[in-house]
Amino acid sequence: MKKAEQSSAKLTSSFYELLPYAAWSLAVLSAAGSLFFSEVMDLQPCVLCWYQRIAMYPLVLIIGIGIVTKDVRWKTYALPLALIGLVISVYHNLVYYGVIPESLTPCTQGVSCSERQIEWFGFLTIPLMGLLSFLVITLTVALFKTKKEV
Amino acid sequence: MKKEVIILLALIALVAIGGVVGASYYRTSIQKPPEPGKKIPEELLRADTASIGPADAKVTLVEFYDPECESCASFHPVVKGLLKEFEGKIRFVARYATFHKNARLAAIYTEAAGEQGKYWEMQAKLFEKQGEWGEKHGHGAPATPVAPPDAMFQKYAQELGMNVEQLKISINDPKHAAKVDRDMRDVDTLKVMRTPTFYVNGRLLARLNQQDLRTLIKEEFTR
Repeated sequence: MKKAEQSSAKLTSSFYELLPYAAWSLAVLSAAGSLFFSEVMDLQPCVLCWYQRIAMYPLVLIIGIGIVTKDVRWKTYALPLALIGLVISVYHNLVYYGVIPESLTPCTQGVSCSERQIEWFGFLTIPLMGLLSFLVITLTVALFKTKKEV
Repeated sequence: MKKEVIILLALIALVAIGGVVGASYYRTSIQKPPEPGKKIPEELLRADTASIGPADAKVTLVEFYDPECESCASFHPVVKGLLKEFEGKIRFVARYATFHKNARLAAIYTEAAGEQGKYWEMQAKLFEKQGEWGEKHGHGAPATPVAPPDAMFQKYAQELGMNVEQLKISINDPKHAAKVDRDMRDVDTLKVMRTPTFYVNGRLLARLNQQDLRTLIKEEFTR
């Protein structure tokens, strides 16, 4: 019984150890992906995309430095950023899918925030990728517990 | 080195490799030759646009340019160099993508200059003097143009030995504006996103640089 408890605790511990890596990998992928869309594919980012980039890019450094220095306070810095990104992303998706009319949004100049640029597999759009990214990062960061919390 | 650093560096390397391979794959795919027998779309090659070189040349280079675009002005000598290199074998076609504020008017003046046989001279002059009449990029750039663009374009025309009075009448001819606007509609249809944009025999140049453009031209000569 004790052995089973020990192995379960070990499993839980490795799960928590993996969380920062998962969040960081996703942030790196999202940052690289957004740069790929704009710099390689020439798809100009709209205003709301830029706001999300502002939230996403620092996550790469904050989580990365947290992992390397084993400074668990990264969670305190990363969670607000991830949440801000998530809120903007939800709003972007509402605009994109026509729930909120674009005339009510700040995107009156430049690239339209509701313009369809990519639709992979018939459903995977850039705003949806952003939303999934922020959602998973936020959950991962929120789930991460420092040793004290565990 | 710490284990964490190695893991992060390995993941970054993986993403970087993926990015490079993906970029190369993407550029090759958009630059791929059209299917055999497929004609170059009408939106790309209009009969009434300014061109240099034999009409039956094996290779046709189309440039979508903006007279007010700084990159177009910087790239202009490269285009001239390539036209010299492939002289007599290549046809060059100039199309407008008037993204900047004064570009439409500049394009109309260029068209009107063409009526006096000075199309290419006017194009070169506008690029050369772009700093005087064009909007400048960058923070802290001085407001331009220093004088109304019309006056400056007419001054350039005079310097090129054109009949300015005739030019003034000609720019009001709606056919020039109609041509520039038609080009802009083609820009939308073809999804031209930036200037300069080049097509070699209908193949889009994926990345703007001299070597890639020359390679694409040479590929079309040997195809």
